[in-house]
Amino acid sequence: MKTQRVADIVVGCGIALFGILIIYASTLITSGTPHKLPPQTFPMVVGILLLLCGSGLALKSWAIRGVDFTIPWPDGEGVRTLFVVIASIACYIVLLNRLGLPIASFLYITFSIWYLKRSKWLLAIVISLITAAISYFLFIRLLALSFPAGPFLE
Amino acid sequence: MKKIAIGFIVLCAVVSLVLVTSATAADKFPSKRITYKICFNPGGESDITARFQEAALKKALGVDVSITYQVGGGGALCWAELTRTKPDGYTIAGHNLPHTVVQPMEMGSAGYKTLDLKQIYMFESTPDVLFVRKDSPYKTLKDFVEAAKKQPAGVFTCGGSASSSANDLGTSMLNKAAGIKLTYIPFGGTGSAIPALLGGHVTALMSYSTMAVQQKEQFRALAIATEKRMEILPDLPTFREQGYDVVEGAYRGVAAPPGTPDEIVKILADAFDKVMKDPEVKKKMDQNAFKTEFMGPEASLALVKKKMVEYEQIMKELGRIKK
Amino acid sequence: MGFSFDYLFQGFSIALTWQNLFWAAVGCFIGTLVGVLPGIGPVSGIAILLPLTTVLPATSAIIMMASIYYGAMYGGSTTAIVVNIPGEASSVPTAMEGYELAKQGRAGPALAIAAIASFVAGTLSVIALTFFAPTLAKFAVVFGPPEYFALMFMGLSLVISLSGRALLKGIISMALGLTAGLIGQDPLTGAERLTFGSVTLTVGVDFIAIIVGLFAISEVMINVEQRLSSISKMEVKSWMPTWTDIKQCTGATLRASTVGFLLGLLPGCAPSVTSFVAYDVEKRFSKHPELFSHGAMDGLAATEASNNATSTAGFVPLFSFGLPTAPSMAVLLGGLMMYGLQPGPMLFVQNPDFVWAVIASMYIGNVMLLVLNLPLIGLWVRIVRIPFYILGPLIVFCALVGTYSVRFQTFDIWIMLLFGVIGYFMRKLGFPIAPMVLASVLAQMLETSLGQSLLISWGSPWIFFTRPISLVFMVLAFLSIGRGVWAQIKAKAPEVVTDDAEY
Repeated sequence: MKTQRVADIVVGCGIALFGILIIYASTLITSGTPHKLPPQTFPMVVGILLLLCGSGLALKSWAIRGVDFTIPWPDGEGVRTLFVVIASIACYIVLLNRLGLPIASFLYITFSIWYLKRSKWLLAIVISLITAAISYFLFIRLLALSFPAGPFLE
Repeated sequence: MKKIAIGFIVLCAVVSLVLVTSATAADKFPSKRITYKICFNPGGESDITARFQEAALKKALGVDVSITYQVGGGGALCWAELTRTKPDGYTIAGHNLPHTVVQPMEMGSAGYKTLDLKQIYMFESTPDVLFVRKDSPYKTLKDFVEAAKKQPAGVFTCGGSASSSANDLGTSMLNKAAGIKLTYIPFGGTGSAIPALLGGHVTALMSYSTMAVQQKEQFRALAIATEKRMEILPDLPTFREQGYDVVEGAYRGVAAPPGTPDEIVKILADAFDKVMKDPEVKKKMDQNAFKTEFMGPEASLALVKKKMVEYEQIMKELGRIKK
Repeated sequence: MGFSFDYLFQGFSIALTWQNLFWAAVGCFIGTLVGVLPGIGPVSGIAILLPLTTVLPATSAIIMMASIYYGAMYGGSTTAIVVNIPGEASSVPTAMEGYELAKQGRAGPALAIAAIASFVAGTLSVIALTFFAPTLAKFAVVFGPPEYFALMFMGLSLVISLSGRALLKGIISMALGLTAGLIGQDPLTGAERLTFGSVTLTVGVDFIAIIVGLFAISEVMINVEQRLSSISKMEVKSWMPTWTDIKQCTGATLRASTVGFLLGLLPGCAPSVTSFVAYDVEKRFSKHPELFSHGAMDGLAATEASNNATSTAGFVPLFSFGLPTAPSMAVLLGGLMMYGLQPGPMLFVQNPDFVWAVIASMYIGNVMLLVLNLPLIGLWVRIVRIPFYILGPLIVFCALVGTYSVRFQTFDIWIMLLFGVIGYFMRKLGFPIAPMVLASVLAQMLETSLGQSLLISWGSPWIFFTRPISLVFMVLAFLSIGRGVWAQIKAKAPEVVTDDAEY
C-alpha cells in the first residue's frame, strides 16, 4: 500500500468485491408489484458498475508500470494521533446520548484541546465551558431543538 | 437492627415521596413544555394544521407547546422513534392514515407497529379529489371514465403523492369501481405532483381536497371521495353521486408513545377537542378545505382498526403484500 | 397578473415603511445567523418563526420570512469557505474553491466575492422576477419526469469533468455515492433495499451526514495528522478583493445568475444540481480551468451567484402557481395560508399590494445583506488564524450539531464519522470526492424520475429522445461522457488526480 500502484490494485480489488456484495444484496430485494422499473434494477446497475470499475482500476494499475508515486501516509505518531481523534469523536457520539449535548461537548472539547496542546488546559476548559453553555441555552432552551439535554439539565 | 429500622424508614420515605411526586405529576399534567413532533417537512399539510392549532393548543393546555420536525422514510423514522420515547405525554407526534397502517404492512422493518401508537385524537381528513386541467375536454367524471374506457388499458395516467398513499389507494379504488385502468404515477409529495398536471405530463391527478381550493384557477375538480359533499366545495359532486363507490382520504391526528397512561391521553384529547372546536381554528381549516374531524381516543382507534382491514384487502389486490 | 410600474412603486412605498424595513432587517440578520450557525437550517429557521404570523400583519411577516430564506443563502457560504463545512449540497463547490482560497490567506477576498456575487445575482433575479414573472412561470411546468431525468442524468455526467484524469476512480466514487443514496425504501414501490434487515437503515442515509463527513471531518483528520498550527499561516491581508478578482468574476457571476435562475424556476430541480452545473459551465468558460479546485475565484463566484439566483427564482412558481421549489418555500407557502392568502394567478389580481411589496422588499433586502455581510468579513477571516488545536475540536462540534439536527438521529452522526474516515482514505488514495457528493444527492431524484417516465411511456426509453428538451440534455450528457472516455483511452496514464481534477 506504500505506492499509488499497489494501493490502486488493492483498492480496485476491494471495490470489485464490494460490487459483488451489492449485486448479491440487490437479488435479495423483494417487491410484490410488477413494475416498469423494478426496485432491483438500480442497485444491480450500481453493483455491476462497481465491479467493472474496481477490477478495471486494478487491471489498469497492474498493466501500467513505470511512473509511480509514494503515498504520504502518516508516521507512527501521526497514526496514533489520528486514532485518538477518531476514537474521541466516537466517544463523543456515545456520550451524547448518555450525558446530553452540553456535557458531552464539554468533555470532548476539553479533552481534544488538551490532547492536541498539553500546555493549554485552562484555555481548554474555558472554551469548552462556553461551547457547552451555548449548546444548552441556544439549541436546547431557546430553539427547543430535540437534542439530548442530559440527566442533570432536563 | 437499628440500621434495618432506619433503612426501612428511609425506604418508606423514598417510596412515598416517589408516589406523591408521581401522583402530583399525573394530577398536574401538563406541568412543562410539550413537544409536538411533525413527521413530515415543514410546510406540508401536517405542519400547516399544527400551526393552525398551535396558539389554541397552548391556551387549552396551559403550557408551552413546541413544534419540532423529524423527517425521514415517509414518516416512519419519526413514528419508530415515538415508540421508543418515554410515555409521559410530554412528547406526542402527528399521526397519519393510511401511512401508519400501510407502512408496517409493506415494510419488513418499519420500526413500529400500527397499534403501537397510542391514539389521542384524530382531527382532520383531506379526502381524495380527482382533477384534470382547466382546458381539458373532460367536463365531468363520466366524460373522463368513458374516454379512459375507449383507450387501451393504462394509457391514461394519474399522478398523486407517493406510493401506497391515500391518492394511490383511491386511484386503485376508482379503477376497480369504474372498470378502467389508470396508470398511477407516484410523486414526492402533494406539492410535487401539481406541476405534472399543470404541464400536462399526466392525464389526471388524484390529490387532496386542499388542492381544490389552492389550485382552483388552474384545475377542474371532477369528483371528491367523500360520503357527502363538503360545505366549502358545494359544487363538487362525490364519486358516489356519480355511481362509483370511492370513499378515501388521508386522516391526520396525534398519537402518544405506547404505554402512555389513559388519564394523560384523556387530558391531551380534551385539549385537542377544545382546539378543534375553537371557531378561529375551525375557520382556518374550513377555508383551506381541511375536513375537520372530532375523534377521541376510542373513535380514532376504531377508525384505525377499520382501516387496517380495508387496506390489507386493497394491498393484497394490488399485490403490494403477499396474500 | 401583468406588470405595471404603478404596482411596483406602490410596492416600494409599502416596503419602505419603517415597520417593514425593520422586519426585513430582522429577517436578513436572522438569515445570516441561520446560514452561519450549525444546527439550524433555513427551513427550521423560518418554521420556528411561523408563530409570529399570529401577531404580525401578512406583508411584514412574509417580507421577514423571505429575507430569512435568501439571507441564509448569503450566510451559508461562510462556514464552507472558512472551515470547509458546506451546510448544504449546493455549497459543496463553494467549499472546494473557497476553502482552498482561505488556506492561501485569501479568505477575506473569497468572502467578499461570495457576498458581492450573491448580491448581483440576487438583484438580477429580482429584476427578472419583477418584469417577467408571468412568462417565466410557464417555463416552470414545461419540465415533466422525462425532462427531469435527462437533467439529472446530465448532472451526473458532470462526474466526468469533476474527475479529471482519474476517470475510473471518479466513477467508483460516483457509484459509491449512488449506493449510499439507494439505501432504504425505494421511492416508487416502497420496497426495502440494501438494508440487510436493519431498521435504522430503512429510513436511508442522509446526504448532509455524508457531505459533512467527507469535507469537514476528513479535513480535520488531515490537518491533525500534519500537525497544522492554523488553517492559514499567511498574514490576513486586506479583505478587499483585487480588481483582477472582480474582473475575473464579472462574467462568471452573470453566466451563473442566468443558469441558476432558469434552473431555479423548476419545482423539481435540486439547488445542488444548479450549483454544480453553474460551476461546471464556468470551468469550461474560464481562462484558467487548471486553477479550479485550487482556489479559483470565478468558480466560487459562479456557485454563489447560482445559489442566490436559484433561491429568488423559486418565488416565481410560488407566487404564480403556489408551487414550492424547496422545503423553505413550502414553509413560506404555509405562512401565506395562515393569512388565508391563496398563491396562484389570482394573488397578483386580488392582493397586488402584498405581492409587489414583497418583491420590492427583495431589492431592499439584497442591499441590506450586502451592507450587513461585508463588515462581518473582518470577523470571519480571523477564524482561519485561530490555532488549530482550538479550531479543530470546534469544527467537530459544529459538524456534529449540524448533522444531528437534520433528523435528530444518532445514527446519522455515526455515518458522518464513517464518511470522515472514507474521505480521509479517498484523499490519500487520490479518489475525487465531488462525484460521491453529487451522486448521493442525485440518486433518489434520478431513479424516481426514471421510474415515472417509464410508467408514462410504458417502459420505452425512447421517451427521453422524442421530447425536445430532454433530447438536448441527453445529447449533452452523452457528448460529455464520450469526450471523457475518449480522453481516458488516449491518455493511457495511471489513475492519479492531476492538476485538472477536483481533490
